[in-house]
Amino acid sequence: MIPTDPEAREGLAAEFVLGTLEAFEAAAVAAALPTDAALREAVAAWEARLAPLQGLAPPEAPPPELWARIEATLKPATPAAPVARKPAQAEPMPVAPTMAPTAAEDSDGPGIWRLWALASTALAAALAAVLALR
Amino acid sequence: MADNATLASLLARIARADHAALHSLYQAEAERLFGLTNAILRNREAAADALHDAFLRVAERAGQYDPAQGDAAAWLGGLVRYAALEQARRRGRERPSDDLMLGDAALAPEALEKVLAGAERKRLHWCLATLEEKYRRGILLAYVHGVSHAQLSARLHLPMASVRGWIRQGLLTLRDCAP
Repeated sequence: MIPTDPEAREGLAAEFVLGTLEAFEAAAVAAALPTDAALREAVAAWEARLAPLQGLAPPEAPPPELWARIEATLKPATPAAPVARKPAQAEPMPVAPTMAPTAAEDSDGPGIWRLWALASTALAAALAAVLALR
Repeated sequence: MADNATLASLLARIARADHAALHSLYQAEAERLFGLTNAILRNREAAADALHDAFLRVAERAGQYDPAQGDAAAWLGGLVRYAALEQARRRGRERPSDDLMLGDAALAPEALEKVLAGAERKRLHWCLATLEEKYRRGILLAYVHGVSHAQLSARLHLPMASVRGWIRQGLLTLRDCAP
């Protein structure tokens, strides 16, 4: 999937950073990056080369509720799976309003959620070990 | 906009699961970063989704930022751009190039002049200026507005079959000029 010819690889890295690759091509590059150090280096060089162009996009205020939404995703109301990237929540919307007014982030901080995360990760690992032993 | 040292130290704190640091980073950078996602998606709702996803990744990957690799702002912007491009692809980049003014602001010579004024950016500015017009426009439209090959073809009046080759040629010329 990733070419071996140096110029072709260089072009692919450049297009990956520029953003013109189709979804399947971009996914293939992203998947190759962890194991292909030379490709990673080429991508990093292109990122650095083009990064100053980020300044061409005019700054704009995001919707005011966006931070609360980010927080709600990072600290779901049900602490059962706080680190799950896609929590299996049936109704994502009602979660946000109940989270927002409570000063949870100030009163108990992220520590408690981290603990929950660690605890549930440890529990999952223990369960996996038990299952593996059976 | 926060300076590089401030952003780098915020990222270091986020890597240690400091949630307040993530909030500070959001407050310092949200307008610039939302500008990036909105330039690519041109839809505030989609741009907000992309920035949301990007901040989850920042929380997860802040420890991967290596100051030796460059500015914290550039690293953040890169991560946010990828999130926006993913969102654009997920939405099929369905927006046709119906906005004839699209990119005019980004493509204005004064805009480049202003953005690439710093000493270390002079080289990139000079190299872009020496690129053929169609290469320069193609690269800027794709980088700033996440425009696909098909949209570039329509916008730059280049045949679809050759537009990818043109852009690649432009990129490689740029690399040889600004290694």
